[in-house]
Amino acid sequence: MSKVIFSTKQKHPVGKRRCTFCTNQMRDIDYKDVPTLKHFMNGFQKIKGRYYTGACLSHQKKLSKAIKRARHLALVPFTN
Amino acid sequence: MATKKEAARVLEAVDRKYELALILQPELLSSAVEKKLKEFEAYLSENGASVDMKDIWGKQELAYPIAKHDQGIYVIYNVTLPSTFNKELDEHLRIDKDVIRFLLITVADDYEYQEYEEEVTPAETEKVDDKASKSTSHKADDSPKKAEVKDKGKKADAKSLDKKLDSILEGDDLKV
Ligand SMILES: [Zn+2]
Repeated sequence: MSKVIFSTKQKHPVGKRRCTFCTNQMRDIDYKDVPTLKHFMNGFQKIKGRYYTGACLSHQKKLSKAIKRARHLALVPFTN
Repeated sequence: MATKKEAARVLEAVDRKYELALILQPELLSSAVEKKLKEFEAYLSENGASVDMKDIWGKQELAYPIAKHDQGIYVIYNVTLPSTFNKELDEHLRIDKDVIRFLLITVADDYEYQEYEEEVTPAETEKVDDKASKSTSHKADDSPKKAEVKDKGKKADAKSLDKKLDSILEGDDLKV
């Protein structure tokens, strides 16, 4: 699988933002994929909002579910 | 109006794909882990389940202590269970003292298990290299990446070697 580069910096104005998961054609987000999940958590290990991730609604929901599953299995901390 | 019992009867025949993640307590020896998992698989097959895939991650640091343990042995299963059995399985795992945490989720029928490697930035690789040169003990996760780098080097070497060989062969032809 080719390496996907995730960035949560706002390069585009609100109307022109595109979901990184949609553009990379990732249908599901796996809770075992810790390096990807860490991109979408801030310094306090909280889940970043849609304003910062730029994800579409369905992908943001999948993302938060994956992070919560990873937290349950102690792959990712609850707090820092 | 369909009652709950009727709904349960409809669900009875369905076989679904599940992914099961277990965290075993770290004090178990490797032989004990194997024995434990064998027993567990026997228990699964008794109840009409089949194991499609099994992956043992080994001992890993936990992000936060669970039941006063700082490490855990991760095991991932892909199983096909009759959908009426999962409640019983939940109860079985909850009572088990060697299993400190578990997660049982449904997956799509065309789901394929994937392994994910930890991301290593260039600065970190240098650090890792330094550590490797200083001390022999380091994480096993780093080895495949190093191997890839070595392979690249080998490929480059192979190309240059091919060129050299060609030139030598031509030279030989000229000499002969
Ligand atoms: Zn999306």
